[in-house]
Amino acid sequence: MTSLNTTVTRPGRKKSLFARFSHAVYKYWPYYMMLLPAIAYFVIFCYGPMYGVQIAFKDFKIKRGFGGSPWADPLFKYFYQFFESYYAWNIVRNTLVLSIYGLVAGFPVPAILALSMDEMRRQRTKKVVQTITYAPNFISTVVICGMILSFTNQTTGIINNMIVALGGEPVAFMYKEGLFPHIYVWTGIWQSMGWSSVIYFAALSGIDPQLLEASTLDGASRWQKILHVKIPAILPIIVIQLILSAGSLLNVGYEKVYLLQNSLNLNTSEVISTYVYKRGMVDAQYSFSTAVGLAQSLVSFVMVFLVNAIAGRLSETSLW
Amino acid sequence: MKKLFVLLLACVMLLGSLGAVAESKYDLSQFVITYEDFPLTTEPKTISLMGIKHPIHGDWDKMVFFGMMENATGIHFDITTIPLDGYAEQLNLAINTESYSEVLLGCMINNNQIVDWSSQGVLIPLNDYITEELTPNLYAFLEMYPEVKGAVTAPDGKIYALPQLNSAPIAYLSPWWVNGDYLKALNVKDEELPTTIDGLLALARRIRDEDPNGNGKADEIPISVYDNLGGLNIWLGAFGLPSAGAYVDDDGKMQFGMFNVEKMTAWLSFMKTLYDENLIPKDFLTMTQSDQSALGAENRIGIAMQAIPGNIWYHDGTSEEKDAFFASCPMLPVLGSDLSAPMLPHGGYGISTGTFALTDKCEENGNVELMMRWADFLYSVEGSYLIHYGPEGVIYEEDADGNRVTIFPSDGRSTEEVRGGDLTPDCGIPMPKYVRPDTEGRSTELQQVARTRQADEKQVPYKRLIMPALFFTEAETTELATIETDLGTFMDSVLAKFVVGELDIANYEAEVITPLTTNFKIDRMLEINQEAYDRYAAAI
Repeated sequence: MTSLNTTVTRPGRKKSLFARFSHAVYKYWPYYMMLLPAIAYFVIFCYGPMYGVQIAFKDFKIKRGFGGSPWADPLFKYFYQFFESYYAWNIVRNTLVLSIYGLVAGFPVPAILALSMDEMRRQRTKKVVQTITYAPNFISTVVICGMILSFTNQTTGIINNMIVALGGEPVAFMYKEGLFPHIYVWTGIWQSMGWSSVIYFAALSGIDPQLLEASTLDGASRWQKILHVKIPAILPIIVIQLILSAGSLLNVGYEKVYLLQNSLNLNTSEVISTYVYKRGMVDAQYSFSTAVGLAQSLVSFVMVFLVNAIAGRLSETSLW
Repeated sequence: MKKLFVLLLACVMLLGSLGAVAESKYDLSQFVITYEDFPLTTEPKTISLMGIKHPIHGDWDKMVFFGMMENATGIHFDITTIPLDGYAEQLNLAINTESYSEVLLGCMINNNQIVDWSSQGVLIPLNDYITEELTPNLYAFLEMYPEVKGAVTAPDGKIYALPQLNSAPIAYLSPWWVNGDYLKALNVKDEELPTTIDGLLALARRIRDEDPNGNGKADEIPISVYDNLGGLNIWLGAFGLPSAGAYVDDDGKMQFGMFNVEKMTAWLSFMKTLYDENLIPKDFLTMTQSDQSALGAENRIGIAMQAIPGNIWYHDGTSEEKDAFFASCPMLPVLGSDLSAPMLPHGGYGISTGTFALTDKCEENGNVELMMRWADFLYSVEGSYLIHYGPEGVIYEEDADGNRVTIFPSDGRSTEEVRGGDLTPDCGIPMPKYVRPDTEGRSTELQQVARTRQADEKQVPYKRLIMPALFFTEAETTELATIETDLGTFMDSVLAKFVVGELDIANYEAEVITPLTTNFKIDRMLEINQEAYDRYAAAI
């Protein structure tokens, strides 16, 4: 604390930012050491590879490498190529639809689940329900997709067997392009709701019991307690969760979409990430697919700023 | 400390055992190659080699073919294999990360990749090495088949990759097979098999309704297709159209099949009938080959397309009984319709390009000449036989007339499993070789004999080339890629929608012709194809 005192008592000799920083590092070095792995992670895996993004503006040739490949002519050639292609707007639209639909339908569900489980009286039932809702989160995407495909199968699927047993006509679920977003989003919610509710569960158990007691004494019903005590208590968490998921909004889970695609639902199922995979990894059009991927990242970037700003206005909770 | 030492020792021993030379279960000393040019080198040499591993393959470095070649030539290969599933992605990555080998054997390199990789110096031109002195077999082979030479010559006039040629018709004509047991149950004789689209529909309906597998359940799949439209494209020929995409017409001009409204709608109506009446599986778009195999094993398939019936159905009994059953499954005749005489479209003349290429790494190590002489052997009669069937005495032996007598494996595996698993990588993956016209027919396996005979009788008279494999320049490739990228997706998806009834065939012009003419540069695509075809026609 002595050093702090000296800076306060001698305002005239203000140290430079670097000097203050190095002093802080010297003094609190264990904490900075703990920060190091995180910084290294971002430098190596997030910022480092970014210099490769330049191939979106180049006619990338393997042998010449990133730096040596000639610049594309015009510079935005591959961006034009994408936005002029027949499916471009379709792909952008699908990406937006799947992600926004997923976000809007998906983010309240874990909170609701946590609130309702919190109301359960019997601990045993609560634990059982919790475990059952967690479980799907640990099934791999490939298996989930296999389950979806076999359950919705037109001739052998369990859903169609039930429909037929009830006297209906079998439905080719995976061949209807209109159904794809619903299947994709709701199976996703089913898979992740239990796991994502953990954080709300933690927030709920952190509510001061005195608050709940006081509201009971004031004669609040259970419903009123949820509405006026519990929801306000977890609201900041909900907002933070919303902002975080907005950041990855356009990163629609590529494996799941890819595995559920077929040529009949492609109109609603082709998203930017699957398109980038097909063009880039399979067809080896590296510059083109990098350009498409870069366009997606830019939109995501803007999105996070927007949502953050809106959240800041509405609830005074924001990321920065 | 002692424990740690023991642990360390165990690790070292484990590593040692992993590194041990792969032991073949065959005694290689009994298989000897006698060839005048061998050995190629007196001091043992190690060269790196990369190839694509088919699911039926065992480990390449345990294969008899590589063992025999190593003993005979003195060249040992350091082998890297890429699994067939998703190979395109991994092969591209290997090239791009410079982790490719000196030799690319059976990498199924397509023409665009040849142009791209050669322009970057990854693949080296082989022309200077194809001479009468250095590679006599290869030289004579390319002189004998100018169309093969045309197909492997890149736009810059150089040859970067060597082909496989299987000049037998069965190598490039796709056959539909009919379940022999079903025909017996339905009392249909071979000569009564349908030759028109209507006849096929009638037979398929009987298979669906009359329970030919006799299990009391209506679980028969009359016509099995999988993986999108699968082999159904072949039946475009029945309506007089070689392809829905680009094809060369009789005057050597490029045409685009989907523009032919009359024939396309007739074909689509036929397909819709198949779908509506449950004559093809309802989930044909998502079915895979393994789904088909499962159905075949349960004896639920009536008609399907595979190289041989043995790849579709399963039959109990000894190897000889299996063979007899498969030989009793006849080939479906080529179909015609009111619109056209029977026509069987096919993609090439049995030429698979890109089966063997050498990289700049091979040149740096000075191994090019050596490897060209190595590859040349495969174009000799003995060499082509060896890489195709493995050595005599394992799955075949020659009788006095020079026919191959099949030796059925004693361990319950099929000959194909032994061939691809233990003997040679030339099973499911095209390899550099020249299969002589009479090679395939010289088998005593009933199924193979039946296949060859029926291909000659039922298919050859009606075959129609869609277009040869064309070589495009780099600029053309780039331009084509921008046009074709979405075109293929559009075609697949719009055709499938007509079949399942999501779109009405009566609106064909509005749903297909209008988007095609307004959104895709079909004219330009045909123009580029035409130029490439003219170059090809001039070269042969």
